[in-house]
Formats: sequence, structure tokens, C-alpha cells
Amino acid sequence: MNEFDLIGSQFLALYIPVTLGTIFGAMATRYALKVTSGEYRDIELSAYDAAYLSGGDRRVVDAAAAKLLASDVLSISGSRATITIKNELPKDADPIERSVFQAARNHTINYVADFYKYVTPVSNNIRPKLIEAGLILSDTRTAALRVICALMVLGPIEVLGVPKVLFGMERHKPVGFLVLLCLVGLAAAVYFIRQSCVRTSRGDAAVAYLQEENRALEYSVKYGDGGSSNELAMATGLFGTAVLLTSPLLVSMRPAFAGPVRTSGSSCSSSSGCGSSCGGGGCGGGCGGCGG
Amino acid sequence: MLGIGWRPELAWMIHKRKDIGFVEILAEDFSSTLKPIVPIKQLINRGVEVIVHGTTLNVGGSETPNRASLAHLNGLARQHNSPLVSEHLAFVKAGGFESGHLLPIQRTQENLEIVVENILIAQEALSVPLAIENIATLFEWPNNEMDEATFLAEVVSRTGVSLLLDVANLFANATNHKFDVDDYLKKLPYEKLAYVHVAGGIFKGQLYHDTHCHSIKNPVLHLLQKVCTTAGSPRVLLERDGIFPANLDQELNHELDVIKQISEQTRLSHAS
Repeated sequence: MNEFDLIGSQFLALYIPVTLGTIFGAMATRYALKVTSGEYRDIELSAYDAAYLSGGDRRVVDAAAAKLLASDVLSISGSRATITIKNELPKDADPIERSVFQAARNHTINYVADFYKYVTPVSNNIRPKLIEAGLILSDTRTAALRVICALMVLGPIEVLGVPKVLFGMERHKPVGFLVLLCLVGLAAAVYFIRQSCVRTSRGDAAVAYLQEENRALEYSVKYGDGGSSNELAMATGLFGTAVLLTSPLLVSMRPAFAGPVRTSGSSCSSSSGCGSSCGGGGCGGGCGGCGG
Repeated sequence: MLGIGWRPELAWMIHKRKDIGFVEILAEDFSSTLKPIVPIKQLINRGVEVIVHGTTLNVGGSETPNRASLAHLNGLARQHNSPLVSEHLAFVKAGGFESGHLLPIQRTQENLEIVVENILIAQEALSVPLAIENIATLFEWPNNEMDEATFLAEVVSRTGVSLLLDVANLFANATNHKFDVDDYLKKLPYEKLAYVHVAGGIFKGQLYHDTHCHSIKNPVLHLLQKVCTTAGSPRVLLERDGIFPANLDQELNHELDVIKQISEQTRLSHAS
């Protein structure tokens, strides 16, 4: 019997499990490619390494901007939170900070998100170290993952979905639900094809470890100023710009990060981020009053 | 041993400072049904003791201590493996109203009986020892029948409760109510001294305000030195509860260093 001769409900009973199965299959493949042996060792990671590992290119830019704003190299002015140069960059500044600084010098920057288009990708110097440490997949493996997973998900759409839609339209049958299912599959394929940085399981462990180690820093940034500009960069890198938005001492920075363009959020990865499990920590406790 | 009041603003500074032996958490800011938050758990794991410090038990009130408050203190002490719980010798609520402030108790024989009864009830309910702290007050009730030190010593003597001596509060009261600090110190039962509080404050006109938001004044440090000398280098805890400017770490680290130095000096002089 030809599957294209199946009536709508019978076809869907075949198509839905196949689509879901391939999506789960692609996720399993992705997971299998992520798995690396060995535990996370305490590899020395800079704030920007940690930022890239946690949230990808944009998170790195956020962390650098936070550091430069906190150290008064950059300043914010006006209702549109225009970011301008206030002081010269220190001689020992990181190349990423130089890129951000140059962008502020050469372009009109309203909100930190504007840096993204001038500065990203910033990961050329970061990726080799993280790949070597087994924290992210190599470029080859990432490319393989993208192709394999996307093809797996696209398979049922090409072989079953699209032909059935065409047959259905030819026979004047309703195809709206099937089109919707095809779009779901297509969205999954786009998700996999856009994976530019994939953490290995060791990378996941590294992020979890660093977030745990720096949980006290997260509290201090959220409720206070969080120490030095380097520490602020680390907090922004690990926990996202959300930590900056609540700090009473970083009020002046808020408009720059809470601009009209979406910020890199908490520890969940953005589309350009280093995708993996969505970690991040809750925050208990509270603000102390006078204890007598 | 050196201590500091744990506040979220200070979490990272406390995390980095490895000579902190104990911290205080404010009971009213934490849930007794949840596990300790990660930064506190990390301190516990490295051997830092956590003392639960309450402000609303109301041992100076005419009503007996609230069972729920005691259960809360107990829960927190259990979770944090606390060696003791501390509270204030004050009243904070009456007739269903909370003052929002630590208020002084009129030091009469009748009120002493009430405080003693309340503390005995609290001790009975708590699974760890209780320490009671002297408070700073900007006014005194009329017709006090005894001075503050005598009242405090009497409470300790009749209940066996431990003493948390706040030298900043003592300085504030001695300044504002004009009594002799040495006379006060002579009356204290040091064998029951659990630890000492020190905090910053400011003068407003003739009055000293124990704000916990400003740097420690020199007379308070001199008083701390005197207490350390008399009590044989007790545990000392720095309190900072408000105004957390940028670079506060530097100020607090300096204050902790000074406290540590005072404590060390008195310990060495005791040893010799």
C-alpha cells in the first residue's frame, strides 16, 4: 500500500511519530557527539572564556562592555544610553576589550547590543583554547553535528510531508495541519543548523562548576557592586546581564543593557550562544536590615 | 576568631576572605524550610560557623515568645549546623503591632521576671544555646530600678543564657545616656560571653547613632580593646547592614584587619 494513499488521520498517525522520532533522534545524536570522557579539570579560564562557554559571542561582548563601563573607560549618556569613550584603554587590555573600545570610538553605540554587529564574532582567540580543553566541540564536529542533525529532521519532511501536502492540494484536501507539522520540523532543522558553538559534556560541567564557584559573586553583583571590574566581567559572563539589572550600585549601567534590543538574558543560551543545558541559579536570601 | 554579618552585598568579599571563622545570618531574611543558599553552604563546607541572629523574638515583650518564631530559629540553626542562636534584649511588638525597631525594656524587677520567663521558654524550645545582646537605645524609660549592666547580668545569672556583647551599642548608650563604661564592664559575666559585636555609626549632634552603615569610630575600637583585654580575646563579629558603596570591600577589609589585630594583641598579652 502506498503511504500517500492513506487518508489524513492514518497518514498523520504515521507522520507525527516519524517527525518526533527524528527530532529526538537528532537530539540524541547531538548528545552523543557532545559526550567526552573525563571530568572537568580546573582549567584556568578568563572571564571571557567563561562568558563564551556560558553564552557565546554576545555574552563575551556584554562582559567586556560591563567591565569597560565599570572601569570608566566607557560611559553612558543621554536617554538613548549612548556609549562613548571616557578614558583611554589600559595598555594591558584584552583584545576583546580593544574591539569593543574601537567600536565605541568608530561608531554610534546606543545600547550594548549595538556592539554585537561591529564586534562579533569575537571568539577566534577563545575557541582554540576551549576546543583543546575539550570544553566545546571542534569546528569539524560542530559542522558534522549541524549537517547530520538537520538532515535527520528534514528527512520526513522531504520524503513524506512535502509530497503529501502536494498530493493533498492536488486532491483538494485540507493540508493546514500537515503544513504546520512540516514547519515544526523545519524549525527544528533551523535550530540544529544554527549551532555554531556546542559545549561538550565536560563544557557543561565546567559552566556548572564555575557558576557554583562564583555564586557568592553573583549575589554581590545583584545586590551590591560585586568587586573589581574583572569580577564584574566574570559575573556578567557566567550569569548574563540579568545580574546587572538588579544591582543598586550599577544603576547607571542599566539603560545600556536593558535597551530595546534583547539582551543575552540569564544563563540560558541565545541563538548564537554556546548551546547546551539551561542552567543558572535562583537567588534566595534577602537584604539585611539593622540587627541591633 | 573573626566574624562578619553575612549580607548578600558582602557575599563575595566574605567568600574571598579566608580568615573569617564565623558569620551571622539574619533569621528574618532566610527560610527555615529551604536548604542553605550556595554561598553560605560553601562557607559551612570550609569550616565557617554560622550563627543565626534574630531580631523579632521579643524576649522583652509581655507576651511569651512566639512558637513559630522559635521553630523558625530552630530550623535555621539545624540547617546551618549553628552552634548557637542570638537575639536582642528588647521588645519589638505588643498587642499585635510590630515596632520595626528594637525598643528598650523598662528595667524594673517586674520586667526582669518577664524577661527571665521568656528566655527560659525560648531556651526550652531551642535545640542550641541562646545568646542575648544588649541593644542601643536613643531613649530610656523613666523609673528604671536598675542600670543596664545589672539588668543584663541578672538575666544571664537567672537563665544561664549566653551573652552577646555589642560594644558599639554599649558605646552608644554610654554616650547618649551618660554612664560610665568601666562601671558597666565590671558588672558583666564574662564567663558567659559568647561573642562580641562591633559596628559603625555616626554622631548627630550630641547623640551617637549605631547605624551599622558607617565606619567604626575610634572610641568604639578602644572599647573593643578594653573588652578583649578583660574577656580574654573573645570572638568578634563586624556588622555592616546598610550603605554599600563601591569599593566598600577595602573599608571592611581594613576594619576586619584592625579587629583581628586587636584580638591578636590581647590574646598574646593574655598568653604571656
